[in-house]
Amino acid sequence: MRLLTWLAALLLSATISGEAQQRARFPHDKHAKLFPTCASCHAGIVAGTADRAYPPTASCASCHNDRDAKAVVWTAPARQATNLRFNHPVHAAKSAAEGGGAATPCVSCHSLRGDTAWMRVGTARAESCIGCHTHRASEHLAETAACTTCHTSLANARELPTAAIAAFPKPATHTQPDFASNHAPRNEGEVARCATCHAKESCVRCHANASNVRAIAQIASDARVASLMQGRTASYAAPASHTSTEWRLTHGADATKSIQRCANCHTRPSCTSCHTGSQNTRAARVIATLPQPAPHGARGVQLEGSRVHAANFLASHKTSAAAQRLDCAGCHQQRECTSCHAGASSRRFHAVDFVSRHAGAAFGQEQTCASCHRTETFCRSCHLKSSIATTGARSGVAHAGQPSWLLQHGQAARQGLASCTTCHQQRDCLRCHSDLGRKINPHGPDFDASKISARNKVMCMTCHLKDPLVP
Amino acid sequence: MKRLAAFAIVLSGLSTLNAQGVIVSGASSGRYIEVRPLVLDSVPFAQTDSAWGAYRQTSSGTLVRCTTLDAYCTFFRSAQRQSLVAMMQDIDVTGWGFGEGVSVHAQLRARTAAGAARELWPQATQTFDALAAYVDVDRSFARVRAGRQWLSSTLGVFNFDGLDLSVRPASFLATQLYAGGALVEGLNRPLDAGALAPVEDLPPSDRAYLIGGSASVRRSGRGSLNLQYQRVIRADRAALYSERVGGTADLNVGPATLSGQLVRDLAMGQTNELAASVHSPLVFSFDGGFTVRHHAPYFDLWTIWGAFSPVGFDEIATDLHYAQRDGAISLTANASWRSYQDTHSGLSFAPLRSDGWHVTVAGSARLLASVRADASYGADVGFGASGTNGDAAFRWSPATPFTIALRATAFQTIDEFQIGQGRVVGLGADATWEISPMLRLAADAFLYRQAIKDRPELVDWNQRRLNVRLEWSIGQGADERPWDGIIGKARGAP
Repeated sequence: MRLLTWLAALLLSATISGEAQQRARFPHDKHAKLFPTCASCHAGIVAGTADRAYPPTASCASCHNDRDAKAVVWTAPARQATNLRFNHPVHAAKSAAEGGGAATPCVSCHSLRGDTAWMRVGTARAESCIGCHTHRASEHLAETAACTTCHTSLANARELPTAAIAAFPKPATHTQPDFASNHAPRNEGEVARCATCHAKESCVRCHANASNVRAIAQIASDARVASLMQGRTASYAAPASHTSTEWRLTHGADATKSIQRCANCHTRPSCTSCHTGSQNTRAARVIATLPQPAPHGARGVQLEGSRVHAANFLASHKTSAAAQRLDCAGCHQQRECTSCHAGASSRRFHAVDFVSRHAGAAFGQEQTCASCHRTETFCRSCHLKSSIATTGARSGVAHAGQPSWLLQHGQAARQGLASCTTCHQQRDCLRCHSDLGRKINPHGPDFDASKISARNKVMCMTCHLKDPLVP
Repeated sequence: MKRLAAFAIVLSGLSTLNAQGVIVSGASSGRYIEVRPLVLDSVPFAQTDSAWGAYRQTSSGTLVRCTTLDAYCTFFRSAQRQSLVAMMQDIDVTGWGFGEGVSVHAQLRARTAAGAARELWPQATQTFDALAAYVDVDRSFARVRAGRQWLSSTLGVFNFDGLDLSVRPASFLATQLYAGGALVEGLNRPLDAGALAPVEDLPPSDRAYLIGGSASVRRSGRGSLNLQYQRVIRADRAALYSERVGGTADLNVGPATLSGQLVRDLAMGQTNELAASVHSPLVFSFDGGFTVRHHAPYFDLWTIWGAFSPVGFDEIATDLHYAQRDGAISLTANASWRSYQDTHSGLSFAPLRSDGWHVTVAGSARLLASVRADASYGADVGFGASGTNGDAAFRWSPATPFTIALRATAFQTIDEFQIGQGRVVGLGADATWEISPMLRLAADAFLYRQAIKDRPELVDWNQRRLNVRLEWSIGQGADERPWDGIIGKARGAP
């Protein structure tokens, strides 16, 4: 029985397809009654002599001579390129030594799935190998499969055409969500397993640090794979850890701890698209250890344009900046702050024509104007020059539409005094609200004169001719 | 002249010290602007009719002010259209490699304006400005910064000439002490009469010193807390210009972030800012937030404004955002309502509005692989100024280095307390060309047309604007670009 098994193994075709078993082009089943053994035609396979692996073409004519049977044209199939390590003579010899039968071993591998009739044969199935060899897995492409038992490395399978490589089946493990972050081989055995189907170019396509990874260096380069990879952009699946809402806040610690792990997918521009700040920060020094994109290598994950801060961050960043919740300097240069906060006319913060319609936002203090602009200089200088501001008139251009403005302006001033100061200077108010003016008291009911006087009596004396706190 | 010399010294120092790396980046910009300044005009008293109060009006309805016994009444009108060209050159220099953690930084600005209306351009006569110039020594546990610098803090962003010492005794704790001569924000000049005289008839009588400190606790991913104290003292120490404290706190609770802020003016005993907010991701790529806020204006004690008892307002605000993961569509909506405190002033029978509200909706969609559309609408109603505005833009990015956008805008023209007299529509285009990773050219042009409601005789606000901006960066290790960063990314917002 064992001999039969080994003889069947002799008939393993050059190429094994684990998924689709193909019928041989020679109609074996129609000749089932003519040939009692496999070796009568394929003796060379057992003996290891290629010229006798298939019967001569002329042997068909002994029957197919248009007299006994219709003449046919048959040629032996060319030897197919393969990456199999399988050796028919060795297996045949071992089967013979173990006392196997004559034909059964051929049939056990080459019989069609579920059909044991004599000479119903096709190309061998990978599962046939698993029957004897320690595969440590239940199926051909299992995660724990020991590929190198039956397969040579891709680099050594020099005759294998590029199309055959492109048609390699993809193990189910490769499509699992965490495969991108967990596929690194842990030992040389696993490297060899990867090298069954992959060449260095497979790795270089995505790994920005390919030249620094020992496992990748151990895998040979291959022109066929290179041609397959040409023009294919790298695809990076975000590891589960990266999808956390806190990742953008906490990734610095992980990067500092093991930046080389980051370097598998990230080049320096991945970081500097956000980390545009000082070169002297710890983050900058860590980032500097990442590789730059190689001219023909992987560019690394492209993060430019990705959303780092929350959608409303531009308007609400004050709290985070002040509390140093984020290391602003890690990403931003100070000039990015001063391009707005220095009162420059940068339009990066405000809309393009904000100057034409900023009044509403100023009254509402949607963003606190005084965080960036000093009303006495920035606002007033423009309002004065464009004549929006008055120079002392009690009813200027801005209030011409208010018939009772003189009586109403107290409420307006207390509600929006910051806006008043964008046009009016102190002396405008002193005309009425001072000892030298009309002596109209501008203080509210909760005004505490002693509190101000204790800090700056000079301010009191701007309006009062003598210290108001001294009876 | 002294500043130019100092700049030259900095640059020559960089070369003689053979810095390990120097980045020099700049932005050269030019703007063409048309304006119609307001001028005082007059009309014979006899040609006016009575309106109300002290006001009379012309036969066309223009309000004029007439003083008793004067033969003429006065009013403001728009002058003839004038134009100006404003040019600005920003240069940023960063050099490092003088020793571990030692770097020098300078941010310089030169500006000028030309044309009939050149005087209208703010600071047109201040041709040179040193926004920042400091030496930075940064070690893992501490940082010292000396020179002209800016501080971003709970109390705002302000600049000073002095020393800033930051110590990080632990990874979660940072402390900061700073002191120096106070500067006028926006002017970058000492707080004295000379700097403020052009715009302030009662400028501070002396320069001032600033001193402050802060402590921050940050648990990465958990939250943070910052406390700050700052005072500004007159140089002769005879008076206090300001004394404030501030605090901010963030706390992450699950996916939500809770934030709080307090700014208090110790000198006036007034709380200028008290806010609490919560923001959180919601369902289906939505995130949103809610804010409760009290705001009151702050004034330095060298002005009399604080003595006028300004009141603040209480505000509630909410915002909602939606963004598809692939960025194809994003939507934003926010709204707020504010209510002012009692002013104990004004006319009880004719009060001004004491509340206000604001609504904005905006959306962005990728129509084609290289075409994006943006639109927004906003309405703002308040006691002093109200208006609505809308924007739309189509942005075409045919190739990575090119972006072209067509923009349209419409908004109400506002003078304080005179609302909705006119409406302006604008049409424009902007384009950017990233010539190389270190060189970028941007330009935009706008044409505005004003339609004035029922007032055809008024001079229009029609005008044209043109901006050209060239941004560049050179230097060793200059693999970052000056226009990157989150602020730059918001450039396209309508």
